Amino acid sequence: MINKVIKKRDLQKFLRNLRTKKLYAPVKDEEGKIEFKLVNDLKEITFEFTNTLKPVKSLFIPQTETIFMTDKKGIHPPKVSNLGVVFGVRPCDAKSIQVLTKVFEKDREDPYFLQRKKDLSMIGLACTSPGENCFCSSLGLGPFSTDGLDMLLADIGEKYYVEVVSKSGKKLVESNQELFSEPTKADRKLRKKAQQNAEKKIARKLDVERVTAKLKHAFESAIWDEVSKICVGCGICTYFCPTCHCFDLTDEFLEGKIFRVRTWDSCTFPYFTLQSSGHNPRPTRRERIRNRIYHKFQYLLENIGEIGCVGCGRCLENCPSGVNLIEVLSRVGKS
Amino acid sequence: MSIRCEFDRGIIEGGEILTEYIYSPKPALIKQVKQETSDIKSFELELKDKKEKLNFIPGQYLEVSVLGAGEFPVSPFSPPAKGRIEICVKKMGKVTTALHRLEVGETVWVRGPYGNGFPVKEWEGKKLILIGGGIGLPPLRSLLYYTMDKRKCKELILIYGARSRKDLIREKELLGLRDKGVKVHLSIDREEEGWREFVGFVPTNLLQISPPSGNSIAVTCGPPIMIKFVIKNLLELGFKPDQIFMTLEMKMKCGLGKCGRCNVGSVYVCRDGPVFSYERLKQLPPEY
Amino acid sequence: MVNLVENLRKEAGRLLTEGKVKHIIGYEMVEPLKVRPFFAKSADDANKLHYSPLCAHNLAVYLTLEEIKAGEKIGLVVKGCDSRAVIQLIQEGIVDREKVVLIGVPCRGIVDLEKLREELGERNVQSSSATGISIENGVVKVETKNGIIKFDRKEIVFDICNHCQNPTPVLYDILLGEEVKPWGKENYEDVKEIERMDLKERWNYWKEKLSKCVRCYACREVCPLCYCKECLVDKTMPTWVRKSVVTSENTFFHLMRVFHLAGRCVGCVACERSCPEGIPLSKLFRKMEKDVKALFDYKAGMDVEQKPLLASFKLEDPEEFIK
Repeated sequence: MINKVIKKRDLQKFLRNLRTKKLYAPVKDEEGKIEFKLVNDLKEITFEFTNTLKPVKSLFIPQTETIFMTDKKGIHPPKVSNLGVVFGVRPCDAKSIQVLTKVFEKDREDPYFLQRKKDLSMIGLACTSPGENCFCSSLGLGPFSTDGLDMLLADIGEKYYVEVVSKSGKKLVESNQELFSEPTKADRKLRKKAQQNAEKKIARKLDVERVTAKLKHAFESAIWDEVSKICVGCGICTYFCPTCHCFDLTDEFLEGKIFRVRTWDSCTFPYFTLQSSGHNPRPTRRERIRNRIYHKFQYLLENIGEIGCVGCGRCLENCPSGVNLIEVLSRVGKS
Repeated sequence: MSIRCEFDRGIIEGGEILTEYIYSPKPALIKQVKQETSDIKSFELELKDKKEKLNFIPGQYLEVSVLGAGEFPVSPFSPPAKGRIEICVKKMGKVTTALHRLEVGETVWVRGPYGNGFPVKEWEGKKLILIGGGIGLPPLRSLLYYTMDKRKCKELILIYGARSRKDLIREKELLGLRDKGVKVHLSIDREEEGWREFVGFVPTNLLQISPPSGNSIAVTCGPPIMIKFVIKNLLELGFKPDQIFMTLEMKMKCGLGKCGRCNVGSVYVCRDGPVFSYERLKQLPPEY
Repeated sequence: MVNLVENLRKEAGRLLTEGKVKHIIGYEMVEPLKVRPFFAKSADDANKLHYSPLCAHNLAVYLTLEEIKAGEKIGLVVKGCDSRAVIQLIQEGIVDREKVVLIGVPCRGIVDLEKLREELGERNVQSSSATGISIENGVVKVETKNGIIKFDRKEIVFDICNHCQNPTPVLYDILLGEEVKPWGKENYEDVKEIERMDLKERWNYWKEKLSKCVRCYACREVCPLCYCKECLVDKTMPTWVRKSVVTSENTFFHLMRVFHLAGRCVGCVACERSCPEGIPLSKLFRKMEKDVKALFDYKAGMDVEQKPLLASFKLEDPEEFIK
C-alpha cells in the first residue's frame, strides 16, 4: 500500500480534476438527506455526514435499469455505465461492493454489475466520527478499513492521509502527482490516533461468530414470532442495506419500444414468493424476516463465503417500527 | 442531475454496449398450438435461427418470454430432440394469459436451459415410477419419452391424475403407451360416466398400485399438497429418501441464482434445482 | 407524566392478569430517546410499557396486521389520532368494537426528534446523554446527565400537533389522565402554502419531491387505513403501476393512495414520519382532508355510527358535474 498526504485545499484541486470524468459525491438535499449525486459544482459536496442515506450499491445496481430493449428489428443490448469516480464512500459501503461482486460473479457473471464495477473507482472517506448505529467493527471491518476501496482518505487536521489500495487508485494519484506528498512522522501519528479514537466510539457490538453458530439451530425459535409482530412489512431495511441485492424483472412499454427492466425488490414483501397458483412458501412476516436474516448470516456465508452485512446500521436507523437487527441477533446468540 | 429519477432506457452517454447480456433470449416461432384442456395449451416451438440449439435434459427448464408481458419458467413437454420443443402451459397469470392469446406464426423468446435436470445416467438399469398430477405432467412426459427412447430402464410406470376427465392432458396418448410396454395408471378425483380407470386422488392410487421399491426410483411432480402425500405414501411403501425425486416449483425470475427469490435455505431452486431428492430436501428448511 | 406511565402499567397489568385481553399493544422504551411498538403478553411485560412524547407510531395499524380470532380481545394504547383511526376501522367493518379494549392517552403533542436533536446539538448536548423526556404544562423537559433542558412545547413538537383538534382520544375504554383541549385552530397553513403556487410551480414542487420516492411502501404499510390484501401496485393483470421507480409511476402511486384515502385519512401523518426520504406526504393528505371538509362537511373517524364518506351519499351532496 502506498501512503501519501494531501493538503485540504489541494483536495479541492484533486476533485476538480476528477470532475472531467464523472464525479459522484455526497450532497445534502432539501430535506437534509445526504445522497450520492453527480456533481459539477464542488461546493455542493458535503464532508459533514455519518453516511449517505442510500448505500453506494445504488450506483452499481441502479434501482431501475434496462436489461435489454426491443423494437421491430429485435432485441438490443443496453449501454452500461461510463467511467467515473465515487468520492466519499465509507469503508462499510466499499466492503459491500466486494460482497455484491462475489454474488454477481458466481456461476454466470452479470455483466451489468461487473461493467460498472470496472468503470467506477471508489475513493473512501474514513469515519473519524462513527454514527451511533454503526457496528462495522463486529464484522471484521472498521472505520478506517480499506477493503474494496481504490484509496482511503482520513482527515488528520490540516491534511488528509491517503492510503492508495489499488492500481486505479495509483493511477489517480500519479496523474495528480503534484498535489500529493510523502507523509511525515507526525502525519502517521495523527492518522494512528484518529483511527484509535474512531474505533473507541463504536458503541454497538455483536458477537457474529457466536450468532452464526447459533443460527444453525434457531430456525424454529420463538424470536422470529416476536420480531415479526412489530415489523409492518415495508422494504426499507432491504432497500437501504448495502448488501441486499434481490431484484425483479418486468417488461415495460415506452414510446413504442418494449424494455425489460430490472428493479430492486424486497424479500419482505408478501408478493416476493407468491406463486400464481396462490401458494406462498413464506406466507407471513415471520417466515420472511427469518429468511432475510438467514440469507444474510448463513446462506450467503455458505454460498460465497461472506456475511451479507457490513455493520452500517441503516436498517435499524430507518426502520419505522424500531426493529433492531443487532438486538434480534444478540438474542439468537444468547439462546 | 438526479441519478435515480428516470431510468436510463439503455442509453448512457459514453457508455459501453454490453456484448454479452445473460438475460437475452432467442426468438422462436410457434409452429403448432393444441388446446389440451380448458385452460392448458401446448405450443410447438422452433428456434428461428436453425443453427442455434437448445439442448436440455429432462427436468431442466426454459425461461419463455412473451415480450411486453414478461417471462416465465417452463419445463419442456417433449423429450430432448432435434428441431422442435413442445411446451405445455396452464393459463395462470399475466404472461401465460398473453401466451395463450398467441397463434401459429407468432414469436416467443426463449432462454435456457437452466437448472439441474434429472440424474438420468444414475437411473440406468432401474425401474422408474413417475407420479404426476394436473399440470405436473410435462417434465415427467419428457423424462418418460427420453427413457423409452434410450431403452436403458428396466420398467416404466406412469401414475397420473387430474381433477376431472376434462383436465387430463393427452389421455388418449398416455393410454396408448400401454401398447409400448409402459404401465399407465390414470385417475380422476370424482366418478364420471364412461370412466373405467381409478377414481380417487393420485396418492391413493399410488398406494393401491403399491409398486415394489426394490431397484426403483420414484419421480413426482405436481401441486405441493399432492407431493406431500405422495412422499408420505412412498415412504410407507418402503422407498428410501434417496429413491424419491421431485421437481420443486418456486416463483423464479432470473433463473441464474442472482435475484434471490427462489431460495429454499441456502439452495436456489433455479440453479441447484428444480430436481431434488427427498434425501436432499429433508436437509432444507420447509419453505417450498 | 410519571403518573401516566404508572397508571398505564397498572391498568395493563390488571387487564392481562384478569385475562381480559390476549395481549396489549403499546410502546416500550428502547433508549431514553427512542421508543417502539411493544406487545405485552403478561403482567411482567406490562411493566415494560412506556409512554413519552416520542410515541409517534399509530398502533392501530397492528389491528389490521393481526388476526383476532373468535373469543379473543386485544388491548391497544391510543392517542387522539390513533383512536380516530380505530373508529374509522370500526366504521368500515374491519375491527369489531367488542374485540378491542382501548387504553386512551390524552396526547400533549409528539416531539419532532430531528428538531430535538438539532436543538440539543446547538446547545452542545449529546443526544446519547439524555436520560428521559416528558411533557407537562406546555413545557417539554429533557433530562440529561448534566441537568434538565426545557423547551417550549410549540417549538419542539410536530407542526401538525399544534393544530390538532382531537388530542384526547375520541373513543376509549380507559382514559389515563385528564382530558386535553386543542391548542389552536386548524388553519391548514401548510396546505395553503402549496395552493398559493400556480400550477406550474406546484407541479415542479411535487415532481421534485416525488422523484425521491424509492417505493419502499413504508407509507402504505404504517397507515392503519391501508389494509387492502392486494394493493393496486401489486396487481399485474392489468398492471396499473409499473415496477420501474420513475417519477411518473411514483406520482401515480401516491396520488392514487391519496384518493383511496379520501374521507378515510385521519391525519396522523404516520406516513410522512416513516418516509426515509423525507417526502412531505402530510401536505397531500391534508389537502384531501381540507377538500373533503369543504365539499362534504365530513371528518373521518369521529363516530362509530357514522357511515364512510364514499360509501354513502346525502341528497345535499354537491353535483356541479351533472350539467
